[in-house]
Amino acid sequence: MNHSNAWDLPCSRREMLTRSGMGIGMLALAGLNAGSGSSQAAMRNQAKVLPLHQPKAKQVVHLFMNGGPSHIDTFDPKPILNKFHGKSLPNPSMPTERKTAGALGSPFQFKKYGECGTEVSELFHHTAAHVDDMCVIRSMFADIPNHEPSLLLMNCGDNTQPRPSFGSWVNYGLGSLNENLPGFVVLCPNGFPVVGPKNWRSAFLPGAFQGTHINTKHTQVSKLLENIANPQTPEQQRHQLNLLKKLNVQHQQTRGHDSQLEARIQSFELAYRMQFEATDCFDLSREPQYIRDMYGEGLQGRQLLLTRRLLERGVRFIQVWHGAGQEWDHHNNIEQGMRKLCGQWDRPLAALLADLKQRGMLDTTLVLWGGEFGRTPVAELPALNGRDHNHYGFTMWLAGGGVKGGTVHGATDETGFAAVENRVHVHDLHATLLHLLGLDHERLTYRYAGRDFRLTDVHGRVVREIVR
Amino acid sequence: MQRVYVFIVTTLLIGNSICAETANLSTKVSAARVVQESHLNGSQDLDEDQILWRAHWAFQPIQDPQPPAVTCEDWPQNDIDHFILARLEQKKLSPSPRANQHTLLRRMSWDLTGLPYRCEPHGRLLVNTDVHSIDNVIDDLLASPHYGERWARHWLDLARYADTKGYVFFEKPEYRVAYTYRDYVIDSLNSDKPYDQFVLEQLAADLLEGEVPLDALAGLGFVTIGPRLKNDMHDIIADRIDVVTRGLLGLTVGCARCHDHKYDPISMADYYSLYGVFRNSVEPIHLPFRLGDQIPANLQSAADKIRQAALDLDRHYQEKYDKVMRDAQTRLADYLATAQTQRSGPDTVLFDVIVDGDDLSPQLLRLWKQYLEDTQSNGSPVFHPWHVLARVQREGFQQSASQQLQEMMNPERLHVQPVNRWVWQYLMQQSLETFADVIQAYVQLLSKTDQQWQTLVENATLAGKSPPHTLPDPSQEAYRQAFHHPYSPLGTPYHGFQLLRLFPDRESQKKVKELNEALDAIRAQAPVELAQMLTLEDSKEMIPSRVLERGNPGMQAQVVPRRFIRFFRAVSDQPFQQGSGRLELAQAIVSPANPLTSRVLVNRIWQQHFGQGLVTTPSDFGMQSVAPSHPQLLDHLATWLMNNNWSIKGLHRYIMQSATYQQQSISHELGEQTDPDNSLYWRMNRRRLDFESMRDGLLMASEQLDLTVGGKSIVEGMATTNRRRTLYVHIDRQNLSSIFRTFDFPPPDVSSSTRNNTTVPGQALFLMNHPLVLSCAKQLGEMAQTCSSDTLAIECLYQHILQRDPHPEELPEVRAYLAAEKIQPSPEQITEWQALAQVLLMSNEFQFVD
Repeated sequence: MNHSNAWDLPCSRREMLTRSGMGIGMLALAGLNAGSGSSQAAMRNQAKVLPLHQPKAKQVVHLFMNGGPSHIDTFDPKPILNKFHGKSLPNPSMPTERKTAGALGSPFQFKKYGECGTEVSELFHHTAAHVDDMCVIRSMFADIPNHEPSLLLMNCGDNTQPRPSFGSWVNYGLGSLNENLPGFVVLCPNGFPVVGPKNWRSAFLPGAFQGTHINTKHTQVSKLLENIANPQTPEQQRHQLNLLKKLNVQHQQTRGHDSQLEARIQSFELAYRMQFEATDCFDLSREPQYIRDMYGEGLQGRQLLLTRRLLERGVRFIQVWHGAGQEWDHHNNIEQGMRKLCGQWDRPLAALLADLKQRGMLDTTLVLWGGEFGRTPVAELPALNGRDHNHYGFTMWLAGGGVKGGTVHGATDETGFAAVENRVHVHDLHATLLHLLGLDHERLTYRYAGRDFRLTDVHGRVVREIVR
Repeated sequence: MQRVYVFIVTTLLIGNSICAETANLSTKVSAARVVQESHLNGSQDLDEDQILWRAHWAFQPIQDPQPPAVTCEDWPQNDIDHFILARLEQKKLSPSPRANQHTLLRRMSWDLTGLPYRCEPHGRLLVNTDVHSIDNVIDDLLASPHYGERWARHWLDLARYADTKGYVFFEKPEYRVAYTYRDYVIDSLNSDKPYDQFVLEQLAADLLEGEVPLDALAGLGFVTIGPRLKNDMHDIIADRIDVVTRGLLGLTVGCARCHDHKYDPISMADYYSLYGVFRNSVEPIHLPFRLGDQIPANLQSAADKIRQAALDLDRHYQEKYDKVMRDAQTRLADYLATAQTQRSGPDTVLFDVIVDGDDLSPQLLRLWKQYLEDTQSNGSPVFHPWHVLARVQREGFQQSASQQLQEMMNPERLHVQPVNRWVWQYLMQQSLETFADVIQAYVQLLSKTDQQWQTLVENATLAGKSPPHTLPDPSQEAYRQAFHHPYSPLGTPYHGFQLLRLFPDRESQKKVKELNEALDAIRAQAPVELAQMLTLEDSKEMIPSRVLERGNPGMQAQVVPRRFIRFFRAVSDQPFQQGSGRLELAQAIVSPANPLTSRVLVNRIWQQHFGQGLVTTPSDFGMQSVAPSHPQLLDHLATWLMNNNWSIKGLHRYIMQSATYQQQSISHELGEQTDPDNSLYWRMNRRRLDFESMRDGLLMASEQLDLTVGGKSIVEGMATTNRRRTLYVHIDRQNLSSIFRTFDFPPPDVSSSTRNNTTVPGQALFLMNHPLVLSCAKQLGEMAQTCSSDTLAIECLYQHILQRDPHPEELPEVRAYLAAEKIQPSPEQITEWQALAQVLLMSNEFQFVD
């Protein structure tokens, strides 16, 4: 750790927490490297958030198919549904949010892919080429078949209470890899998903950990990022900030030690650099044509190419949403709907996985794909060509970042209604993801309103079977 | 750290005899303990926790300690300084000299109004800094209408104020009138309403009829403006309990929702006692107008329309409720049969299901399910045959049922499990082929019993006698009661329903949505004169509160009375008697015997003046709190407040008149070595402007700030066209502007006592590039350019932004910058004067208060 000016005098714990601006997470990291010094004790107080074991993953990409994609039509084949198509199912009926009728067989073909032979639907045949790097969890379950609470559970670990999002927790726990960019970037085109920015809020964690939303509808950098463009030329702005620095230094010299003042002086230098780094990062025209072709010119391709650029620059957590609202909510016309949406994602997904792999980034990047829940094996009334919400069982897949590739974990019952084998609750998923990042979900806590909070509250179990 | 404090405090307060033991015991605090009534009522047999709790500093009666003697008698300006100086002298530290007049003015003005001092007419201090004129400045500032705005914002953090409900289903998320609460707080503070009265009104203004003006009802917003958490009543009540207990008492009662508090003397029974208070405090759909009967004639028809829209919605709810309750009678057999089957099925208590219009009410079904569970677990004589017969196999039902019925009359078994004879006899007379016949028999017997009751009532009326209380046959009466007493689902009162769960079908939801939208639209259009208050009232019937095991509404346990936290029996030791008990709760909170309320408040006020509290966990004074840095001073101030009619303004004056407050903030090495946290107050703390003060300051410096007080919240509040104070920016709980969060504005979802104080590049980017900052700088640049010389122009900017002239050592830098920039005209016409103004707006001096 650098012994710069700010460290000349003992620094109180309160100051420690505020001066870095990146909060306690940064302290946790700083504490790892600190040799000696009076601030060490303060850092040790926060030892509970230190990474406790060697992390497998450093960064996370969460691809959020908001609306609840059907697991039965993508990654969890259930031939029995075609047998019982239109008839009532043999298994005990589960209460659904809406009225439902008999079985709805999947209109899509499934095939074995890769060396592992995991079955995947034709809808994702490009993505399936990477199935040997993927761990498909077919036994996910949540608590409630309504979108809003399930989105909040998936993102913030609680159905209703205002809790910090997963991305905020990760940044709080691990800090930033590149201080010139936000640590938690949320890509969502054309507006917000249901429940909006609550999905990426920092809640009681410091505001620095909230997700920075980027409306990827835009392609111009100045429209993509808030407060990133200054009307002066870079030279003029540099002169302006030089004067600011001089005046701030004079101001500080008459006031004795104050790490807050120092931190604020530094923050302008950081912000100045951020303007250029961010501008560079968000400019996709700097990619060679063959790479842009690989991802395709579609919106999802653009989002995923940007994702890779953000990963390269050290953004800790990137959440990519399908889009505003909830397009994956296929209550009816599921066949056309799925063909359309999966068509938008399949090639870019394959491109992202291939690109990360060829750059040697997949090993340390945890890619997570899924929605807030799955869909019923039975058809929804009255149209009978769609599926209702299903939180009893659904699929998510992980790739890279220390996950056992080429595996399938858990299973739903033979109709796909409920997870029955090696069930993985959302809390368990969170615990596992944190584990892969080197964090213990029971020790990553934040004291607020009189108690210690965790992402997993009082729940969660690390699914060690899927960890490489 | 914690344990050491416990040790010190117990030594101080209860003497040496048990402190050593207590200190050891403190390690065991973490063991969860059931708070036993027996322990609380008698002083015998105190367990370890009881001893610790009783010794805990915050649970001790508030003392009025003598100000300690000090060596340096010249320094103190009032008693506060004795408490501070005595500790400093112990540590061989000296207090810092008084701050200069410029610093002091800026500090006091910002503390009391959140604005730079230029706006107030007190130039006299500029020539004279004696104590007398400082007093005058304090008085002027306290008399300013902007004082209420500044301190309202602190209170609004605590009250988790927002203009929206957060996530709700098809109700509209806007409150539309939350600002009436905000304005109530501003007015209350400006009029120096005694704090005890302030609290009484915010919890129970509706129950103080005749004692307070009508517009005090707006104070109930403290309870009602919280998040609506998808309209889940259990979560809403949890929010209300939390804001009241952490906000006013510094107790984390919310922890006891699912288990007894792990550290503090708060049991689940306590939580559900308070739950009962809020469960029976309901919000009317038609909200009272702030003007009451004083609505101007030209607005009468608009007022009527608002009233009508509310009545329409209310009637729709009421009609649906009536229908559900009628169905509950006529379709009793369906309800009982379905409830019985669902008892083994999956739990749907936590989610909403969508059904057809003619289906049974899912909520009532759940109540029946619960009711059947209860009758089984508490061995109800009426339902004993039901539960026995429910276990009989389908095959050979008739024979086994008859056998079972016979057996339950065996005197030995009857002794253990009594059986209601009225239902038993009736069942014996029926031919029971399946369990469905049993259900039918129960329903038929009920209508038979009801008929007998009806006849009895009619006969009494005809004979001119007073109506009967019971049926003559006790077993018949017991049967009647089993279905008609208040715990039975058939007796569910209107507010027993989660309103929206009365409408589980799409068709009727449509109508609810329409009516809600109509009401919302008309409220949105209402002029400020038709502002309505988010009030509360006691429900007509009381729903008994039950402990919910592990906080799960599906697991109801024993009924508990509505009452105050049992541990504080010196404050209130009886169940509440009047209605919901809200007024009695409020009275217990402001009781002079309450050891917490006054301490918690004076600490909050101290915290805003010094940047840190005497207790650094301002909303948690429980066992997990950090003990006060100056326990005697805390008690002194708490006593002072109560002795001075709970006057908050008086307390400000008292604190600001102290030499402690008037110290300079400049740091020195000895102080940093001895006390880096400055918890001994050897200097003033330097504080960064909060987001509101910063934005207000930008507008004020550029002479754009609109100082109108109160009124509707401003949507699009961050637009450059909005010149109102930041306090009035519309706060959307669901979608809080990211810039607010970047500047540490607390999430308005729960009560917040302390703001974070982060320094992040996003803040710098705002000041470098946000249109608001650029436009303020532009205004200032243009002002500077009208000056007749560069020197005057520089002074103009310094005076507007920093309220001082430039220092000689600053001038060369500034002049050099201006000279260099002059020759490079910017493409977008940013003049060097605008750029210089922005430098000063971005400067640490502008952003910090010494």
